[in-house]
Amino acid sequence: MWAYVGRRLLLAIPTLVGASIIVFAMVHLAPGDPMSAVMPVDASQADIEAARRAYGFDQPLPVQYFRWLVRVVQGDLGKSIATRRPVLQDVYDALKNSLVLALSASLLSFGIGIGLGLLAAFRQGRVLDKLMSAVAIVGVSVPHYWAGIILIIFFSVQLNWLPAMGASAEGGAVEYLRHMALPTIALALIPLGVLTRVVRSAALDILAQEFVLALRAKGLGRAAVFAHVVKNAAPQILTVLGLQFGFQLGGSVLVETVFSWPGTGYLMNLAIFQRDLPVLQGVILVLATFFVLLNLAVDLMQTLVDPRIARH
Amino acid sequence: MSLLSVRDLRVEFDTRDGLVRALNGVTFELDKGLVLALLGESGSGKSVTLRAILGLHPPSHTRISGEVLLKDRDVNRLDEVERRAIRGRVASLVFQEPITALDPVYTIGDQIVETLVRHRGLAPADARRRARELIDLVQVPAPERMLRSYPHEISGGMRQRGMIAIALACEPELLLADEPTTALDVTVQAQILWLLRDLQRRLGLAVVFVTHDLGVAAEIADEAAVMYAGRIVEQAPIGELFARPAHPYTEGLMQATVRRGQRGIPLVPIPGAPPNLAALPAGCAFAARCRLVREECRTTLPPLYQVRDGHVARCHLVPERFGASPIPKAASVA
Ligand SMILES: Nc1ncnc2c1ncn2[C@@H]1O[C@H](COP(=O)(O)OP(=O)(O)OP(=O)(O)O)[C@@H](O)[C@H]1O
Ligand code: SF4
Ligand SMILES: [Mg+2]
Repeated sequence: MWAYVGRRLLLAIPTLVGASIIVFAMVHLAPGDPMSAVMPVDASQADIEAARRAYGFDQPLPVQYFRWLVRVVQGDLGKSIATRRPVLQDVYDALKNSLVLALSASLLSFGIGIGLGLLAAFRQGRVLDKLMSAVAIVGVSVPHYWAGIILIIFFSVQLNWLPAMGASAEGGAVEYLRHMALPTIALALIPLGVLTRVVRSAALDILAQEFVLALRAKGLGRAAVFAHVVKNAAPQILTVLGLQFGFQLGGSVLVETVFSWPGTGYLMNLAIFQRDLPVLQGVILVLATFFVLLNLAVDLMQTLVDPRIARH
Repeated sequence: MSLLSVRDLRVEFDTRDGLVRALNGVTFELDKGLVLALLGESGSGKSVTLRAILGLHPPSHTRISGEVLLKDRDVNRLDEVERRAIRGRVASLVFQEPITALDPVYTIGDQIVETLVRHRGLAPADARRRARELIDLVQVPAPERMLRSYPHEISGGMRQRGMIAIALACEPELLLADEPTTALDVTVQAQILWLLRDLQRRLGLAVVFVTHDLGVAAEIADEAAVMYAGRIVEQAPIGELFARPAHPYTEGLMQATVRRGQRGIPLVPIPGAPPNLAALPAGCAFAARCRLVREECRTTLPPLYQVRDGHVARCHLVPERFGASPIPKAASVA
């Protein structure tokens, strides 16, 4: 088992290197000169060249990549072109906020989604099942920035119950939680819908298998059969959980922008508009690393719950 | 009183294609310690019969009538909780394909233990000891490894032994075996058949043994019932059935089967296919394929006739082909 974990960790390294090359290339091959955004309009050609040299933009790309990679590995993601603050600090703060949001949205959507999906499967074809399916379809088809705006209009503007913008750390924990409520709900909608549907269909597939009849034939009751179904569905559900968590962590640009939640999505949005290359690179790289690690964690967990996957 | 008494059992499924009449009045009895072979082509209702005995058909799309008396209690009148107490305890089911009938993510040991805990309320340690005994009972060369194995880690024959161990865990009196050897290699088939016969004798089990293999039936059964389109069309002690098949369908089955010392006699498959269970004909369901068919066969359902003592067949021609006893047996059943 531990040898397996070790090998999987080693295998993650080339994936990470690949991700870093893509991140680097993507940003450098994008059209537009990063210097134009930060230099004064009337800057002389010599000034621009000097700044270019200072940032290392005059070197050939492979050299730029290796220099960048060496610094990245040492934890130095460079300085923001726009704010001149260290990128690592900005990304770290943003990641913390996004992580909090992704965790709370996951808790909400995973709990409810898995529950609804199982309930729907065990009541297949009845009213409850149809109701759940309708909820799931709404969940996956409503664009979440639109849901976010509706939530703001209703809860913040009309009812004035919850704040619509930002993440306030000054007001203490309660204030922070109040700020989290609406973006959490907006972010949870899609994974909730996806999970309800995936869990329902996974459980139905399993319920249709002969061994479920065999379990009933040996006298097991509903709770025991339920446990078997859940254990059989676990690997498949786990995969979807990993993916959805990843999406919530990195894919929340729209929600974070709508709610001005200072997370990675918000930061990325800002970096794109300001052509702030180091920040953009930093955010994407850190998110890519998170994705790889998340996949690794899901894979390892799967070998724990599914005996059919070889553990060597 | 017999251990199992099935009376006029009817099972109908509500499907998109209409009402599928899977069982149309099945009646038979089985005493303690005896083996009944249920014979018949695919789709004749053998598996539906076994499931009905344990009350396993989902109530939502199924209509069931008639009686299934298991130790004098009618399964059809019991509620789900009472049925659960019977399943695996009084009667157990062994499936055709152990690879699909075993839970892939539980070890063989856990699947035995869980049955013991359910019915016997044993403590885990005791259940584990008993599971080990059961594995020995089904004659497995490496018992400890077997208990720790997941179904995909062992061979088909070992899986079926595991399935049998689960079925026997709580010492049932009746074993319902649904083609337990069909999915296995030929050599393994013989071993499992031997094991089942040995266990049946040692434990005094009553067995309903579903098969479409007459040779297998001859090996293990005391009595045989031949099913066609959801009815028993002939029933007799096994030797009598082979000596004097009275229903044209049974004769057809025998001519379509390879038997020892049969060289020179050609194999004759039965022409045509079984009838659509959603639109059964009014008369004899076999009429469309029968070489002896007559006018009355198409209009009138034949009753069960007594061929000899303990030998009945559902065919209009029995009186004239087999002489002396043209008394329709139990008209109420037909
Ligand atoms: N749940 C169900 N819903 C609808 N029809 C069913 C259902 N279960 C069985 N049937 C139908 O009932 C008929 C009898 O099926 P059964 O499984 O008992 O056949 P069998 O004799 O066991 O055949 P085989 O040798 O193929 O196992 C078949 O036509 C089958 O399609
Ligand atoms: S009743 Fe008629 S059709 Fe049916 S088996 Fe007998 S002879 Fe054939
Ligand atoms: Mg069958």
